Amino acid sequence: MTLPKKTEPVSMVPGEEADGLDAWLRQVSLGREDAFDHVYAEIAGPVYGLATRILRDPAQAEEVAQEVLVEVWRQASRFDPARGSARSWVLTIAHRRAVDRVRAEQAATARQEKNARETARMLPEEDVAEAVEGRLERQRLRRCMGGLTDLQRESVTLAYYNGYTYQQVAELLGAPLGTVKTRMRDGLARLRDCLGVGR
Amino acid sequence: MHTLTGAYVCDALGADERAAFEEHMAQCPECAGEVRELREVAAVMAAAVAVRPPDSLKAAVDARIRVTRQEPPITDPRTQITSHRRSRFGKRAAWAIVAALALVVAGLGWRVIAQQDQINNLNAQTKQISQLLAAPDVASTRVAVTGGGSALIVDSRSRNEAAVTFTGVADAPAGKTYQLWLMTSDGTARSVGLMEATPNSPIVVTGLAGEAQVGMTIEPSGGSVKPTTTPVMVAALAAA
Repeated sequence: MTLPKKTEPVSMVPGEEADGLDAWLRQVSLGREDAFDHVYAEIAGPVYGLATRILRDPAQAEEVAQEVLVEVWRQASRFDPARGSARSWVLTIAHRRAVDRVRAEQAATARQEKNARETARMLPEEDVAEAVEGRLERQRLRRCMGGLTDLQRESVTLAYYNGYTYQQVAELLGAPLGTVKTRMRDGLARLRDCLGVGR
Repeated sequence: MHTLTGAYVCDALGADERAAFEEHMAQCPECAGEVRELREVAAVMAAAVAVRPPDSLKAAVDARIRVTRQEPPITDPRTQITSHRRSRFGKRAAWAIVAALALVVAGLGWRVIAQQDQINNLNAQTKQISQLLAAPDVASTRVAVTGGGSALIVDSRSRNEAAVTFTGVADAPAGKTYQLWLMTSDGTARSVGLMEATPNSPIVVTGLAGEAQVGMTIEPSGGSVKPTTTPVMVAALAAA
């Protein structure tokens, strides 16, 4: 039942580069393994990087990344462009998987907690993907992060990059629960406006 | 509720609050819209920490998708509402079992490509594990393995079965092998079997006879009749 494997995906090449991933994902939903190679090329780096950032342990990160990418293959037909970009669809799955793994392990060692605050400031590291486009986006993110208040930035990054619940973040920062909740929301909203995404 | 959009997008809500928010979001297009926007921000944050994955990831993913059936598209919009499956034995155990199953699938993916004639055995093993996971008294525990990594043990008293999977466990030293044991409370051990050098496939143990623990030792190649070294892993069988 498998389609003949094509080495060069000449037909049905997605038009715009910007939604390349969306278009390739649609091809994947038709069962095209060669289209999946393109999806992999675009998204495996962010998926693996995010899992590594959250889980720290490269072996576990690789396992999670593998689960997520197979999930993308399996669920490709469920991707709905009306509900966001393909990139955010995949990375939402990846983030949740990694965070769920952290919670399941519930091995929040003292060392991790101590590192957390430093990590929140460090953000994003240099050893990342090489695409020029990616570098520009990263620079823009760093600049936009600089426009947040400390509490906004720490709330968002501790939750997103360390996988903490907002209660844990509140505890770490010594801030009231309601404040942390709100800072996560207005922090992300300010980033959205600064980055010009999502609108 | 509405103020939870940020925490939801960061996956910073506990399981109950997450479920409650998703229920709320299904009735609140404004929240759903905000979540959609903030998720694009999160995606930028994720992309910013991209790291080139090891080549082994691509190989593993390719091997698995070759044996993984794709879900059909959803045709009835009513089924799009996320179901909030409630676990009977707690979210941690439930998650552990999902992880176990994922590992099983990973193990299958590897092996299927390696050896066509193992498929039948593997199918039987998958079925066995699925039935084990579905047992009403299934329990799970995760323990550390000396030397790094961990083992996840899922077992059921009613089925007298257990499954053991390993995460991040190092290869057995040269000339040695990992051996798995069932141990009674008076210290008697019986061998369950030898394991491959890198224990990355799940092991299914059937015919439990009320043993209290499962353990793993490093033995000379070919295995031993009785454990000859201090176990690198011991776990209580919760269902025992």
